[in-house]
Amino acid sequence: MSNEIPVIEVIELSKVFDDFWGRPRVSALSGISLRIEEGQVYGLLGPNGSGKTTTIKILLGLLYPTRGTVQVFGRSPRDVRTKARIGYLPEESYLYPFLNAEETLDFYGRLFKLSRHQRKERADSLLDLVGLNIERRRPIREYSKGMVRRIGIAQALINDPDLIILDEPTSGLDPIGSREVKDLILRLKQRGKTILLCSHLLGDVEDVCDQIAILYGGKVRKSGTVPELLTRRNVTQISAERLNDGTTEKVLNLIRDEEGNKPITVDHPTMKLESFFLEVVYQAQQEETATSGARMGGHKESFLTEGTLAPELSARDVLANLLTRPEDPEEEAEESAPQEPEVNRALLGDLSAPEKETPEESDKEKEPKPDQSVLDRLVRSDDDK
Amino acid sequence: MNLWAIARNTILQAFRMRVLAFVGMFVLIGFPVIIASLKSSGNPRAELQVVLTYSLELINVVLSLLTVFLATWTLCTEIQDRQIFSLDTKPVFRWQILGGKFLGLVIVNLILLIGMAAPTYGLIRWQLSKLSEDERSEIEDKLLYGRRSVLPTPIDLNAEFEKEMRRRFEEGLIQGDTPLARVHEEVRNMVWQRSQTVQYGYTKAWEFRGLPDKEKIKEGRSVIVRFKIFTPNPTLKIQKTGSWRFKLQDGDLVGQTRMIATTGVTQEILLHRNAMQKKGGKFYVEYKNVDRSRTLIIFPISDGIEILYPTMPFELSFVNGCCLILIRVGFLAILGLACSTFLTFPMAITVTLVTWVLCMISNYMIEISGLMLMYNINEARIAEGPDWLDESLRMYIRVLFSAVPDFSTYNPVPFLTDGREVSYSMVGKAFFNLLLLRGGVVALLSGIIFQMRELAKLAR
Repeated sequence: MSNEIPVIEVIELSKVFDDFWGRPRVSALSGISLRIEEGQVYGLLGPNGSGKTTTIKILLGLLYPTRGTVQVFGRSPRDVRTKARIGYLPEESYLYPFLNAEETLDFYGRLFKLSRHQRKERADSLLDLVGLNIERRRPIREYSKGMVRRIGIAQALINDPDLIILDEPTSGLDPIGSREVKDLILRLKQRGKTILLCSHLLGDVEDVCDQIAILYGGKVRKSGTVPELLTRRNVTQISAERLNDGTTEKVLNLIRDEEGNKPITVDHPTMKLESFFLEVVYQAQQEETATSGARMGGHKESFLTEGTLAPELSARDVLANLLTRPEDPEEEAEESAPQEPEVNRALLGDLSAPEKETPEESDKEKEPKPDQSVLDRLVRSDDDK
Repeated sequence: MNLWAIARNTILQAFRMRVLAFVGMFVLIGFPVIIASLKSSGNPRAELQVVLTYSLELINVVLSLLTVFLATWTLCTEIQDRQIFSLDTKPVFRWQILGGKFLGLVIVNLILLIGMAAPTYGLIRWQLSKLSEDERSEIEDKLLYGRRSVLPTPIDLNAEFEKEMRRRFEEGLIQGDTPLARVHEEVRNMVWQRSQTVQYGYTKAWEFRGLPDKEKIKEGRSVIVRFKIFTPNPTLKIQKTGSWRFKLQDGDLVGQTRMIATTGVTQEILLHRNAMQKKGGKFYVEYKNVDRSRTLIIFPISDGIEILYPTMPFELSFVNGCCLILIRVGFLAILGLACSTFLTFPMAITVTLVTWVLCMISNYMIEISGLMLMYNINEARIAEGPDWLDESLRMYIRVLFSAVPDFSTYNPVPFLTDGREVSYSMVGKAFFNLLLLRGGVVALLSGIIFQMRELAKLAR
């Protein structure tokens, strides 16, 4: 365990909601403990009423613990110095309906004491990021649910936070928006940000989180890294571009020779529906089909465009994802995540804090890789034919 | 910066709620109604007084209601609709949320006040421009100039009472079987009555202290002796003749007049500033009852006679009056926000409205409790002693209404419509009493409550 102060440290946290007369009514949390280190993407999973949102509200100072200790950046969550480093996206984006998108970001920017210049630049970049640049002057009360969600995401990032707390970040978003949020989370992770993600959409969490905790009945039932929790150590899966029958037979024979008569299954992997959907929509966008609502694909600053998966999506990317998925779901995220963006520091100011020596490279080396020797042999035998 | 950001947001919220349209409606409908109501009157001074009264009272009521609504709505809905989640998770102290909203409400009120007071002033000037030169200069002198009131030196009623009792004992007028309490009551009543009545052929004199020397009185402005007389039958409106004399401290007579005055109606005698002394000092006013009907003339102790001397232009007084209105609505804003820290919107607005009404009647209710005391000392109760239930009720009313601020004391309308000044000291007292003292206590308590509240629990 690291000796450094963790970003979030929760020890034996309990929360009991009382009734009007002060009698205990509901026990929402019963002695949960969490430790989230800098740079982690941490997922809180659980069914409705499991205590996810209560935990988040305590971490934000919106609720007070009944018992236990909560520290964020080593301080009380209610300390304004703590709040200055947090970006929060609530379960629903509770925004002022009488403001427009631009005014909303300006208002929250003022609360972080950003200069007029900073507020303007960040609002421009963030509105580009969430695809609301054209609708920036429309009052939020006229926005669709998805558009409100997008501006909610923008306000959570206005202060270039060190800790981002996202409560159901993809709720109300279309698949493109959901994918972009996931990409954004990964980009933020690359920038050394710590992210606490609360969701009951398991796919979202699986795609982006380093660590997860599963809550039920106000208690942590399971916690650990995603590979630790999901890897089936007793099964091996090999994927490659379509092989002819002869090559397949050779592979099967090779395996039988080496491993004996173990049961082997051969079939064609399917794409994730999300990837297929994105491919279709991307094609439609390329054909410039008219649409209303949020418009993606407008001009974006360089640091925001990189990492958006859809334009780069290709069969090769899908293949790469599929190759690595069974061993390590994080690998797909690594592939789809942007390369380290070339940040326009002059434009972003504080938004682009100096990059830390992230454990990116070394981590990659540690991560499980597909067995290249098997693949090489498969390709060679195919060529020989 | 946080305060201003939240204040700015509150201002935007108010104006995008069609507050401007509401005020515009007030200007478009209210003022023509006021102008229309003037046609029946033939007295230009009374017409202007009506304009001032209606306009300022309307401004007062409109701003007060608007403030009560806005103050409770802005915070309650923000908690109930959970926008407070996004706000409270930013680096903002909770007192800044309350302070910013208060600042925003004050600015909204200031804008609306200017928007409504300016047309009121314009209406007065427009009314004035329609008058003849003589009428205009008379109104500008009598009504549209702020004057400070000086009341006569009060008579020591206790000394008069002691003197009368001594006389009665010495002359053997008190009989042995009469209860002493009853004699006391009778003598007190007699002294009180005598202090405000003038019998036919008699002269009553009042001493005034604190009048300025004539050099300090603006050229062209008069000193006004304002009085109101009654006869023993107060319902009758009859005319009575009296002779008035005005003397300086050294006894020099500086003016005299014989005047017919209507009972129950405020009358004025204008004195040139030269009638005042060179270096201040005491000033005496004498009234001789010379009416041939030989009726007793009564000068009520509270508003029987006063001298008004000019101190400040109407415009300054008008601005000070607007400040008083702003201070009053400022207190309501604090109260509304305070209630919203722990109540839902319907409850918060109800409690604030009820408190507003209590603020307006507190002075009256304290007077009522005083009358209850007098009732308790009537003949039937003297023997029984004070009733503890009545006494408790009286004390409860006094404590309750002493705790809420007295809005009537800081109502500028009676001052402005009566040619009196709304002084800086009055504005200062209102600021201290309403905003700093009572508003401060309310704000402090609500700040502590708001700090302790679990906002996410409130919004559940």
